[in-house]
Amino acid sequence: MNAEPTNDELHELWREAQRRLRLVDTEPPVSTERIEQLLNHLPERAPGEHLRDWLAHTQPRSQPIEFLRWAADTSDGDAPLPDPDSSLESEDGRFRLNLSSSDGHIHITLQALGFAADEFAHKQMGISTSDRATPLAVIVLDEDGNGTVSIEDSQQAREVLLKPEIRVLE
Amino acid sequence: MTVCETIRQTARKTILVPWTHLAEVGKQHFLEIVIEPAGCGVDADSQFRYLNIHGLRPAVRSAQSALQHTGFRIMRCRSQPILYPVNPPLNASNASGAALGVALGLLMYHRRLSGNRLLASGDFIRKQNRIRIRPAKMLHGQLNAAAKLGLQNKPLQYYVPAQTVDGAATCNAYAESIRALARLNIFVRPVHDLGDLLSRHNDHSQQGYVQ
Repeated sequence: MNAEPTNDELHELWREAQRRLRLVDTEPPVSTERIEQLLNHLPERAPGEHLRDWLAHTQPRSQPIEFLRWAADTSDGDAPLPDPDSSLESEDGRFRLNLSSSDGHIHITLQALGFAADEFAHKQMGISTSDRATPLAVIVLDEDGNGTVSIEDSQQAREVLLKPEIRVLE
Repeated sequence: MTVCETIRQTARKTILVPWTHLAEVGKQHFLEIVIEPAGCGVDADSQFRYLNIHGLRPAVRSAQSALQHTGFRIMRCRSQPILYPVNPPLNASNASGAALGVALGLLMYHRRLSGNRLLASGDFIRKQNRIRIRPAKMLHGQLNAAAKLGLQNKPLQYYVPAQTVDGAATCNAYAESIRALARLNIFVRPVHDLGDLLSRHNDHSQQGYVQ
């Protein structure tokens, strides 16, 4: 039968147990998906640019902010604009979007709400859909985070506005 | 439970209106509108305030206009109701299709229509000095949405426009979906206008019609 361990031996055993637990408590290798997600947020690396410089000068590409549009029904064509006086709120609750049409134009009004007003003041916002590279319209927000733009009323524009999303243009 | 609470619960009516996402097929949401005694004096504006602030103003206006045109009179002996959405959609973009639901809810509250809950999709349109129910463009998606409610314990009436946008009868154009819903105890009731609906409903009531 083993002799009862002394206090020193017990301490030594605990230290060994801790060391092994620390070894086990390491993050698994990063998946290629996570690496690709990170690379998607990085700008193109200049030829010969040092990795550290590349990462240091990186500003993440802005994320799109979506607006969903729900309808009980509509008889106003295949791509209707929202009801007059109705506002759309972005999924993150930071923006309000109003769309209206008159004189062959669609009037787009964007408002940054709450703290987002300061954050996005004087920023250029592009309005588009997820599958479209170039923005349908560019809205420059004023110091209060509000901006308006008018574009020609067309079927193509209305289709984009069925699922609008905005992003900061750099 | 107090007497007031009991009265409120027994008088409470519920309307379900299917909403679909404009850009993504298959994304659906049910707006649940409750109509119950306000418990205090309310004017016409306060009655619909909660619906209006959630983007349902076009539906409320259309329903009010249709009821007025039909000659519907609010019974003064009953406590005035208040209407509110239980789960308002964040982005109610095009709400006019909820008008039929709002109108039927008020008729149900004032005992012109029996039952405590119903499903409805549709808006009104003035045609030859008559208020008709306008064909719904998104009816196919809305019938599919209704099927997601699953099997109902009690028969649930689903009021829809009688005609499709192509001029066909809804019963024929969506016969398969309508049969599938009937198996779930959800009965699709195509209607031309409110007068037609009320007269048919009253006839059925007198004949002991339950569904």
